[in-house]
Amino acid sequence: MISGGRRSLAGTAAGALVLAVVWSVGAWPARAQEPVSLDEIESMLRTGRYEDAISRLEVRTGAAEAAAPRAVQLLVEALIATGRYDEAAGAFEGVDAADSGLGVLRGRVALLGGDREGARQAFESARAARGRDALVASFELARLARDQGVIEQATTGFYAMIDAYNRGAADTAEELVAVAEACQWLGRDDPELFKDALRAYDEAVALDPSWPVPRIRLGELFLEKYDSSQARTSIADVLRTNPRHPEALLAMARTMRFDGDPRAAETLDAALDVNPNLIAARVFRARLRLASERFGEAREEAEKAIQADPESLTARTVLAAVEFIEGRNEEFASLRDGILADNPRYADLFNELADASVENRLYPQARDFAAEAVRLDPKSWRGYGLLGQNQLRLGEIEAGKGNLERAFAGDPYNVWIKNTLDLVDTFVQYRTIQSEHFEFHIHESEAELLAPYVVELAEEAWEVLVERYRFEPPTPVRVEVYPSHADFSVRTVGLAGLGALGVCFGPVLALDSPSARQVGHFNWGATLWHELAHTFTLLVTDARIPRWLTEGLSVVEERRARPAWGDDVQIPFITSLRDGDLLGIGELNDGFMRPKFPNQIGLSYYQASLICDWIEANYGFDAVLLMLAGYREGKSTEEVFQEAMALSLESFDERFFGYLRERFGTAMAALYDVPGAVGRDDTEDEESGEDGPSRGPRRNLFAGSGPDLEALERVAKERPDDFRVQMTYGNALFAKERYAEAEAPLLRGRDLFPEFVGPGNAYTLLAEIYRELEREEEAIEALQGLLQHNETAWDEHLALADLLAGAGRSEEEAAILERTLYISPFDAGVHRRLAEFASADGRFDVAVRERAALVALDPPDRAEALYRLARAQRDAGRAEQARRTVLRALEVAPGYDPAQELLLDLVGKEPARKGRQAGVEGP
Amino acid sequence: MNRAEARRGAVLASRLAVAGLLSVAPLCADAHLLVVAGVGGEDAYTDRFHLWSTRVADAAVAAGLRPENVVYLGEREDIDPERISARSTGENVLAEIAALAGRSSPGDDVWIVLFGHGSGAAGPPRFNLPGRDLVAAEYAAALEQLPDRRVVFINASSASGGFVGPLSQEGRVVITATKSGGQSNESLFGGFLAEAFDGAAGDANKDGRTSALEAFEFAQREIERYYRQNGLLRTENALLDDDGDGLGSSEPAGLEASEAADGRLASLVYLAQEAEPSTLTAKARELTERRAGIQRRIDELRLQRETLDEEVYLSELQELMVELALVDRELEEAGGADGEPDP
Repeated sequence: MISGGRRSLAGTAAGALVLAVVWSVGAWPARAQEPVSLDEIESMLRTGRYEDAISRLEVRTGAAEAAAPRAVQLLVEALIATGRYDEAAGAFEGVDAADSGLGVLRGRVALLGGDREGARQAFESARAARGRDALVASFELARLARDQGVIEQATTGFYAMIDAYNRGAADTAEELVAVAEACQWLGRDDPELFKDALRAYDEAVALDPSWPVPRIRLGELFLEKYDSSQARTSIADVLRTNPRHPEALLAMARTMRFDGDPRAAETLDAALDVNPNLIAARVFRARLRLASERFGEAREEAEKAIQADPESLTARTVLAAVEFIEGRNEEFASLRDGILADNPRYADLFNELADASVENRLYPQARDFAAEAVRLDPKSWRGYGLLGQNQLRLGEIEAGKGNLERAFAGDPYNVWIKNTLDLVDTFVQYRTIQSEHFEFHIHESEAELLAPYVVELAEEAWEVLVERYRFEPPTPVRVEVYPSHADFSVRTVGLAGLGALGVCFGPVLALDSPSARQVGHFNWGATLWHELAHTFTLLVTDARIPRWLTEGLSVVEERRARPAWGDDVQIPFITSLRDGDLLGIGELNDGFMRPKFPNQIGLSYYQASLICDWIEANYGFDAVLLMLAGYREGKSTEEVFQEAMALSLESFDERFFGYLRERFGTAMAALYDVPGAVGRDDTEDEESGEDGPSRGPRRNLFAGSGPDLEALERVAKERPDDFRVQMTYGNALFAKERYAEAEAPLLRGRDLFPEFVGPGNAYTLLAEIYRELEREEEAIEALQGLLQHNETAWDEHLALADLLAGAGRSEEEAAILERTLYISPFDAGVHRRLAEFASADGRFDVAVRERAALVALDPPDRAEALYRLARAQRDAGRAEQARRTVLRALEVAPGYDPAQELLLDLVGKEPARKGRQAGVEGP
Repeated sequence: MNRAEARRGAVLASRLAVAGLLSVAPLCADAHLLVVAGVGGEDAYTDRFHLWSTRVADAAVAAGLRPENVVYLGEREDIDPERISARSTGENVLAEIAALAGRSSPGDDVWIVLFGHGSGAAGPPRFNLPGRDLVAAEYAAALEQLPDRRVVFINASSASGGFVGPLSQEGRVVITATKSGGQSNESLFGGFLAEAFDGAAGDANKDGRTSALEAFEFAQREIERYYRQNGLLRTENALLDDDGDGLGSSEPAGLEASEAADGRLASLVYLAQEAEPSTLTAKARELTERRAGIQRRIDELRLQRETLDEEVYLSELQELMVELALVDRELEEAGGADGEPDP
């Protein structure tokens, strides 16, 4: 444990060397250069002007006289930063690194080139020379021991760093960083040391504020503990001064990836532009490619990293992950064995494999890898965390909880683990409901209401999907329904803030309860069906299905389940199609995994669903089944397409995009690019989810400030085929309550793009206009048009139901009301109407369901609600249930006449007398 | 007379017997109501407080209170001169409470209901009136003039939570719209409370009357539903105190509580005028006594619910409920209060 306070600043190497170096003008061949000091060169280095620094330093160190150690140091650092490791090694020629205090640097250069033995010798020489880098050399030797799995030796070495700190011997920023890294490693034995690591990093920053390394390491530590906000702050500090720092760029890319920031890829590219041999960046890029299911590119990146350092554990590990995911078992085993031969305690091999498996939805494999990690290293808290998380994903709740508790005991600063454990602690508040194929876990506050609907829908979906996929997943499938979106988010990714609505881990799926979302923004029924379809497609392929296909099929299954379910076309989809910006089949996974703009995920869901539709329409569903079988066997997309449709990916794209252009031709032609504010489709603020479908824009694209009405009228006349113009004009007239005039442009807009059902759509406004003008039949028609495509529009569903009621079309009214239950089952009025319809039609089981829902809603008049449920149960022939329910009614109101009469009737005392039934229900 | 009306006296008798409170509140006690609408500040609020006030006042008369026992002090008399007795200034409010002391008798029920705005985050808790506000301590002092009455004091204003402590007393029901003086956002509790008394909405046990507890529970439930359904953050949490401990409860237990707890007294006080038992026939009186006995057994059984096997519980409950239903039939057939009273 570190003790003692901040020490006084000692002179640093950087501060001591202030001699100006005057460069020979003639030695610089390209152009005359102003003489600069080493301080100025160091400043170039710290602001990312690596090439400038190198060009000035190369001349100096290339001179006959011995190069000043500081000049060599700066040159080597610049060469390292730009990935020129061989040249960096060459810069030491003629320099006694150990004597010059450059032994550590030399060792690090050797390490970067994969020369571990050379590195070890350099570190040992530096330590033996007792120069200014001797302490850091000791640290590096400990780190080498750790990387070779000699944990005891490494631990001793790291503790020696703490001793040095406590003796006051660590007094440079670099030494403090070494102390901090030692503490970070030793934190696995004593989590309190993480705090000491923070402190040492902070001291290093204070000692040399312009040196970027401690801030980068600090950021990495924060990210390791899932605190991306602090990580970002720390790393951004570095990039403000040096926007080209490769390690800082890499750390920022990781942070962005963690936050779902689409700029992660370009930030990583920037790091590799500066240093193409930055192994950690190559490994990270390989991981990203692997997660995007671009296995070939992942392999390429991993091989580039291995080329730079053939012994790199991390590079070989990521290649092993690629081999495993691709099902090349022999290659995988060979890599795995090689890595373990070099470091028999390298638990992160299995931790990385577990992570890669999770990203490819191979949860059982992830669990098994994590178990191997903790077997190899019983202090791999990361391993316990991965093991616990994946056990939870597979429904092994108790075992998962136990391992998460182990992980948290070892690393109490891990936010993911803490959040998950907090969530698991709330599971006692969830009621377990069993059905034939499912085990539902619904919060006790809403289980009574939701369970009948969830069970009914899930079992219906099961029957449909079993028949369609000719496959029966193992049962029970576990379904968790969360009333708090934050809890759902924690269950999914360990942190709050996930944009998705549901998630499927194969045998376990979780989704938001309708109470977790604002009414009108979510259809829980569609989400449940979507996620359950994943259960089938994941399990039937052993999770070896591309992301686009499993998502596309899930959306298709939604569409088949109920009218309007499943994603709808959005304006950006049409404009992307028109502009050739949609992704081809070969890149479609990137639209889910590496979106270049927020709404690309939503567009990809829709596109994937259309692909599945198209395949089924042209080749039959058997082709889809053949594809699933192919993926299960580990075939590539090229092979699968060839086998199922005899199409290359190129020909597929050609035919599919041809179909899209034909299908959406009218809408494409109607979506002009109009400069200015008319119908601007600003999609940046649209909601999108990493693991769930985006449900389109929430904002009326055609409302708000724009040209005045006269100008709009003029434009509308000039451009009768412009969807945005017509809609903007129609919306503007509507806003001014000029309903009769608004009708024509809105009708025109509707005809130009009938599938547009977002905010400000023609159908909703036309319906309001027709209601205002008492043209109810047309209002009904307009709303029916809307609800062919929109499954979440709560107000419009109710408005249509009311209009149908007014028109005496009760059967259709009941059907629409049934659909609202999947948006929100919390409206007592809807249940009451449905109960009355059901009773009147003799559908007594439905009446019972609806009456039970009314009771579950905790109505003010509980006695009456229970009494009516009891009557419905009696009517449905469930006399025993009715008897119990009427007793519950009488518990609330012992003297409630109708309930008393019903009880007497049920127990056969006397027939109920006239006039003893409850009257008409209130609203 | 409908069956519920016929049974009203019998029901009250049985419930009081169960509660052991018969000596405190004899049958045929008078009930009095004072409704005060505070200063609205804006027309919309003035109208709203007036609406709530009239709903409660009218409901009380409909439930049998003599019109002269119902007094409504409003912000502006000109809004509704027929109903509003006087302006709701602090002086008038205090004077009316003093008048209530003279008009009522020991054993009577006295209801005081305030609708309006309040404050309490800084300084003593107060209810905003035209002119000088009255603070909680002044109401508490005024209520001292009403010993031996069962007082129900409802402050349905925003920031009213601070009234619980100063007004809490054994034998008194205190209801506030909020849990503290800090909850100063607009309160909707009063509206739901008025709804509970107006009509049958709040009459959870279907005995034809709405008790203070029923009204409170109705309003609580509807407030919770309102905020949830509208996706709003809840800014008011009502309290009820009737055990004199000065600590209001958001979930009072009522008669079912095995130990003394908030809600017990409130379940026995109705905004209604009880029937005169002397008007009951001998047969009806006998049935009333039988009914009270059955009701007592039901209440005792319900207290054992957690410890009994469910089937045993339901079987015994059914037996008692059947018995009660048959007695109620007989009670109805006996004519309740309609028949000629026996000497």
